[in-house]
Amino acid sequence: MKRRSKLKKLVDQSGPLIALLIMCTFLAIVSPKFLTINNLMKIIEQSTINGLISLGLFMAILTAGIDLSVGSIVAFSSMIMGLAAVKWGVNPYLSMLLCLGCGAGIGLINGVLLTRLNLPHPFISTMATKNIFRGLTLIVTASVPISGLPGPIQFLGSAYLLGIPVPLVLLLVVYTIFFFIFKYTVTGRHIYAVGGNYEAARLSGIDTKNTITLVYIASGFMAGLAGIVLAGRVNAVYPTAGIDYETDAIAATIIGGTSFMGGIGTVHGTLFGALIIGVLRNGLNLLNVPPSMQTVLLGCVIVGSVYVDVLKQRSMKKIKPGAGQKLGRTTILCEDRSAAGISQK
Amino acid sequence: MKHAVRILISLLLILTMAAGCAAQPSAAAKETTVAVILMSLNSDYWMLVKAGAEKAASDLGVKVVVMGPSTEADITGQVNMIEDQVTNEVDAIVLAPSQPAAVIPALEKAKAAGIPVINTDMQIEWDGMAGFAGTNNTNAGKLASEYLASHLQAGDKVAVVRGAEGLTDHDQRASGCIDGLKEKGIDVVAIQPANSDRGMAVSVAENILQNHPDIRGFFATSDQMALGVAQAVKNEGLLGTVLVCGLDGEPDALNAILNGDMSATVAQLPFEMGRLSVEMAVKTIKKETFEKNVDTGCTVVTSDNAKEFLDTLNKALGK
Repeated sequence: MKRRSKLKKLVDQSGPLIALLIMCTFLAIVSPKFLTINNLMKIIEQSTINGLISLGLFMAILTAGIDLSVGSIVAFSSMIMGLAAVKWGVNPYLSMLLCLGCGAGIGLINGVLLTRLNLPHPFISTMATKNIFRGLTLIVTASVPISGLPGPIQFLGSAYLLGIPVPLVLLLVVYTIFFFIFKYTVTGRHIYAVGGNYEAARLSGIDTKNTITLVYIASGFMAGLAGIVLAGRVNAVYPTAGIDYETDAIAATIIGGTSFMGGIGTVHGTLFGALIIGVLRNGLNLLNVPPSMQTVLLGCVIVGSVYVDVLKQRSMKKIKPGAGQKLGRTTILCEDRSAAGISQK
Repeated sequence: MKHAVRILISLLLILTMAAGCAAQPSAAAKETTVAVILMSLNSDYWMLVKAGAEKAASDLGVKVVVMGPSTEADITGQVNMIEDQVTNEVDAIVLAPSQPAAVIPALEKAKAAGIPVINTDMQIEWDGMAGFAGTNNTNAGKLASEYLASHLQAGDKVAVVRGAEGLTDHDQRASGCIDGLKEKGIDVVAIQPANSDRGMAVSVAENILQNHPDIRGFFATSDQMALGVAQAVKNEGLLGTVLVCGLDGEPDALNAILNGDMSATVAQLPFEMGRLSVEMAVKTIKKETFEKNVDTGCTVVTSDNAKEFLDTLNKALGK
């Protein structure tokens, strides 16, 4: 019995991974070019930007919030980096730090708007910064793209280390770091707690305001990092960068099992979500399926993965379904969902 | 195992749908294939390029696959498409880039794979390009200035409504027109961007009309904006007094000219762009020589020739 439930738990928690593997198998059969090393590396390269931004969205959605400004942060930070490195003669490494700093800074603004100015919901605060910084990007740069970025800046987005694309290494390193943060550190637990039940977290002594601010700073930072990767990938910074990036990032987070109610979700789930989207788009491109249809299928994948989650939640409840109980309102201080289910009111 | 089964079912459903709409895999007998990657397929303009490309393909006996992201703003989507077609080992690529600077790394990958690239519509500054077929934007702007000048006198006031700053096409159209107007002594009182957005063009034109009530004409660097400008002019009851000239030759604009809601447009010839660029791609594959830089030209369309021009277009679109 014990062994069976352990295996069951593993399957429960690997929903997105199983979906990813099934999708890859199918595409490998239908498209001969899909399963080549070259193409698999392409998929990683094409998914890295979304993968990084999705981590930021993961954190925001985990706290029952959202960050709509990520696209504008990508544009603004990368443009500042481009201006610094190419027009102002700033050292490339410093320019990259500037990019990350801008990202974190805008994230800080998001956090402050929410927790100090008490704007009612992150949807509002991040929509505001989304517009402000998109506009500022166009103003600061007179809408002109900048090409010819120095080598060090291009490294994260386009270089190869011993035949392995650097974006892959970056993605693994970043996700591993965040996996550890959320599984083993106090801050990680605090973020889950704040998302699960804000009031309970606050009353139990967690600094909820600063935790949330930290989340948005981190999200902005990830967007800045994504901006560096984008700049490397296309060897240019341009003011219309990042438009609609938040859409795929939110999709990756949702497919990865993060709940909009807050408090539920995993780092690795988000990675698989981002890879699912990358695989879907790449595979369908290879099959010459038009992007319009790709978008339809992406929507279906979202419905499918969330529905599976809904079924899982219902079976975890020990009471009749439809009794009006909201999951995710209990303070979840550990990732183990079945434990949370048992301690459900 | 209930949950795994449910996951499997949901996914199989999805993947069956995907199978249903997947085009034929490229494992067919090695037919010469040209991938035509456009900024998008969401307007008549791009559908005309597609029609031209397909005509050239059928004339020359090659296969053409026309694609583009859902919106022109999806620059990374277009870059990914280029890379994926390189993976598909097509014989040549025709490209209309949404952001010329951003596609160059992907084009370098195409070059490394031995796939020639023909550029169309928006010009890319890249020395590996096998050829370019598109509108000379400066000439197009000049044609607009000639139209306006032929109906106005020296000292009359004209405004230019243009696409977002930094878009080379719009830069060249605007300056081509402005230079032409200045030569004829016509006063350009305002140059405002409306970001290729019809709605924004209405507001921009309204503001210009407020500030310069004695204005005699507008040039908009795209038809979408011209239609917005025309709307503002109509709202002020100035149709017929104030000329509105657009650029592109979109069917919407041509209909407006027929209805008297707009004065003229400098029509690009997207059908020719599609046709000539695919021809050039095939010549490159066959290692024939050809003229590398082709101006696909423009036609000034007014109420005189709008009907016949529109008929030609509709025929090409299969309407």
